[in-house]
Amino acid sequence: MIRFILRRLVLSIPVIFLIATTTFFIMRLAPGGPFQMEKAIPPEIMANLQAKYGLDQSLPVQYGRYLRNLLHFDLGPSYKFPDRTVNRIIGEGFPVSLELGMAALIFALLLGIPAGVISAVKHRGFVDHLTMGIVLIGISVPTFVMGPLLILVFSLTLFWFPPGLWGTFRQMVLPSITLGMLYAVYIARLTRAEMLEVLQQDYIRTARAKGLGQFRILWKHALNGAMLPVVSFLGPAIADLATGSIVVEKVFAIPGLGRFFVDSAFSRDYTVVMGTVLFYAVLLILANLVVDVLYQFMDPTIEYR
Amino acid sequence: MRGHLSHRLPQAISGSLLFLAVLCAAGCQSRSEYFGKVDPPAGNVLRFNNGVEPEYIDPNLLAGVQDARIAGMIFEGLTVYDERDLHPAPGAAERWEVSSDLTLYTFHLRKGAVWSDGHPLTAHDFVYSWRRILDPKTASRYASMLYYIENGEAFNVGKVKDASKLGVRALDDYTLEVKLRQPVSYFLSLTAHETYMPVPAHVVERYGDRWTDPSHIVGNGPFQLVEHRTNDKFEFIRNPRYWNSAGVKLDRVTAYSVDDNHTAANLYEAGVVDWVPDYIPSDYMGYMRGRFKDLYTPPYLGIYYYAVNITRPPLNNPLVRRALAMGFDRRAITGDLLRAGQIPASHFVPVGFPNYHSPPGPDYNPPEAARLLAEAGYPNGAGFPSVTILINTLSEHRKIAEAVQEMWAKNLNIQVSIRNEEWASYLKDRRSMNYDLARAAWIADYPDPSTFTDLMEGNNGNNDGGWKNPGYDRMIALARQQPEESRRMEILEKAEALLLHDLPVIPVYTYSADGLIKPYVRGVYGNALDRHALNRVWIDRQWKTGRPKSGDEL
Repeated sequence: MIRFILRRLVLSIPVIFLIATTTFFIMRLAPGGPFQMEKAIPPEIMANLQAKYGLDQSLPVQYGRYLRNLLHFDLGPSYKFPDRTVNRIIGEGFPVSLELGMAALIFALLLGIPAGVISAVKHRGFVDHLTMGIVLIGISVPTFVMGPLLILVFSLTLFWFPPGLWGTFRQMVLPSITLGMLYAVYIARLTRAEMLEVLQQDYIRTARAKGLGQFRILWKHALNGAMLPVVSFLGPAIADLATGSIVVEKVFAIPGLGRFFVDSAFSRDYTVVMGTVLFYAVLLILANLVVDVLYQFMDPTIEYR
Repeated sequence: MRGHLSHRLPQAISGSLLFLAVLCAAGCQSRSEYFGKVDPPAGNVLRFNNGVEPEYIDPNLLAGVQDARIAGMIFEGLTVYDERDLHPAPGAAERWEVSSDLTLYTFHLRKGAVWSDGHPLTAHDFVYSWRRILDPKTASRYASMLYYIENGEAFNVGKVKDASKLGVRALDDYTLEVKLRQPVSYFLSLTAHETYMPVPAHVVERYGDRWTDPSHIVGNGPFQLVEHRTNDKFEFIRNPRYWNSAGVKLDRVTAYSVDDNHTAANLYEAGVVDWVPDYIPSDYMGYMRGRFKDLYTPPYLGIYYYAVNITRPPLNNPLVRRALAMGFDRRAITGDLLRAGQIPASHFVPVGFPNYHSPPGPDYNPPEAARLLAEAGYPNGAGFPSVTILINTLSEHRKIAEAVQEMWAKNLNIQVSIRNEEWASYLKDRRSMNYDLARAAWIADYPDPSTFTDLMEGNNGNNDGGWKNPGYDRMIALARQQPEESRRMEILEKAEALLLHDLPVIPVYTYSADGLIKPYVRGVYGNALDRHALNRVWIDRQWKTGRPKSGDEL
């Protein structure tokens, strides 16, 4: 097992190196640079600015320097916000994105699992159709519609929750629902499908024959079996949620990491582009590794070498 | 099938109910005189949305409007603008003398003034700051604001190496002498600009690039920065060591960095922020104007125009440029499309300079435009080559370009296309003259028409359409040497007339400074630079019954 983990970690090094290299050179193909603005800058000043950040050197030299710094986990200064390092930007933004992602995940689980269970139990009944109808809406409505709609109703009409910013519990409610809705409906559908299958199993019939109550059967016996696919869905979902969502962060003015993926590319903030891409890559590699390891615990028939 | 149908019915009903609830809510709100909740914050606190995250708050390095707003709270220049009429008032300097030829300025600083850490603030701090911004190694993008200082430009581009040759020196701790390379009647306005604000040498030298961190930063302005989170907010408290701290009425200020204008409007509507100085979604304007008292739209010293690449046919023909300039109705753009306080402009220098009167530009006149186009060799648009309008990606720019496109098609029977590019590519294409017509804008750096007329000088980097007129350049140079104000304005007016004759630019409108401000926020005054000192701002708890806002208060 430990050998498996080590092997995966070692193998991920060339992957990260490849991502770093590709990103570095593709980024430089985009026209313009990080210091342009509408007001023209005298060429002498532009040259000094480039020199200050080493952008006047040849690309291979810059690339070599970047890799050297990377070995020390130094992602460099942001070119757009020169008083901040990329490490600081990630360090500030990631916890916020993580908080939002986890809140969205909790919402998704709290809504998705009970909805799936109830749907399965009341299979083809009114509640099932209603729940699955709502699920269909949840899948079809994108976050950029869901967010403003929730704001309109709960912030600007009922004044229950603030329409943006981040920090307090009340500020977290609407963005978490917006971001979590899609995951909630996926979980509901997964749970429902698995529950339907599990409820047909002999051991459930046995439990019923023993005279166990409905709640006990569902909670103790059926749900356990139905959770496996949900857990495997959670692995990539967590990595996805933790790195932030550009749409939700913009709509609700949340200072997370997600927006940097887009903003830094537009502003040609090379170091931030590199930093966020690499950070995301490492996170994905780790999340996949964790899921693979968990699989083995949950299903001993899977074997790794 | 039947069963399914009956099950869907409740959903349909609940859906319609939700929609009705939203409609009703919108209906109920429209009865208010104000946009959204009016609920003063607890305490002497102001919460406003500053907009997109500032790049720098270092006065020597900053370039953006949002950067300047933050720096202006922490630092104070020798002079400050009087908000009502923009005349320069004493700031860090309590008085000054100006030589009759307007080239020698002597400032007397307040004795006993200190930085927010108690360190004395002296004339040497100004010398240090101005040398720093002009130092080529600092690589400040706004250093050209200090080119008026003797040897400023030469030192900045590396032609003069010795900083002591700069025309700024401290005669003693409290006297600063500034020698200019030319008479500058508006120099006291420049010293109110952020780039002329002092930075604390003892902090900058110690912390380098990180000196603007809230844990290090030290200022001489009315507020002190205590917290900053990227893309979130800046938190300020009153600076107790500011020379006029007793006059500052707010205890705390929060400046949010919300860059989405709909989100900013939402926060205002919900009462989370008290003031949104710009960033009002243009699609709200039609609904809000005339309905809400807290919306303001005074004119702003900025011009929206199309830059013309005059090296490319058919735009190299002045007749074509004139035909295009006369071939679209600016009133349709400002009145029907933008609907805030924008003023249609066929001249380049925006309205709002009291002593300056722009010559008339090419106004909307479809028959004359068609005649000019025919004279240029394209009767009824026949044979007109393909021309493209370059815009940077933003829905407003697209809407305006489409309106112009449609009016040219109707009035001149010519087809132009629109090419949109994201910001960095757009800038690159403009600087390398890779365009026919390009959306462009210029906002005044200081309240003098030369901030616009200088732009079109032959060697100015912002004049990127290939136009160079020796007569124009001569007039601009002449105006620079002219100490007599009314004479200088006359020369600039003549220069603009020449510009409007050649038309390397097609002006569209003068900007308006749109914003939303709650009725309980007092002491914010409208002005054409949209600059506001927060020193005198206060929260009026009796706003419903007390003294109403004066005419120039926003």
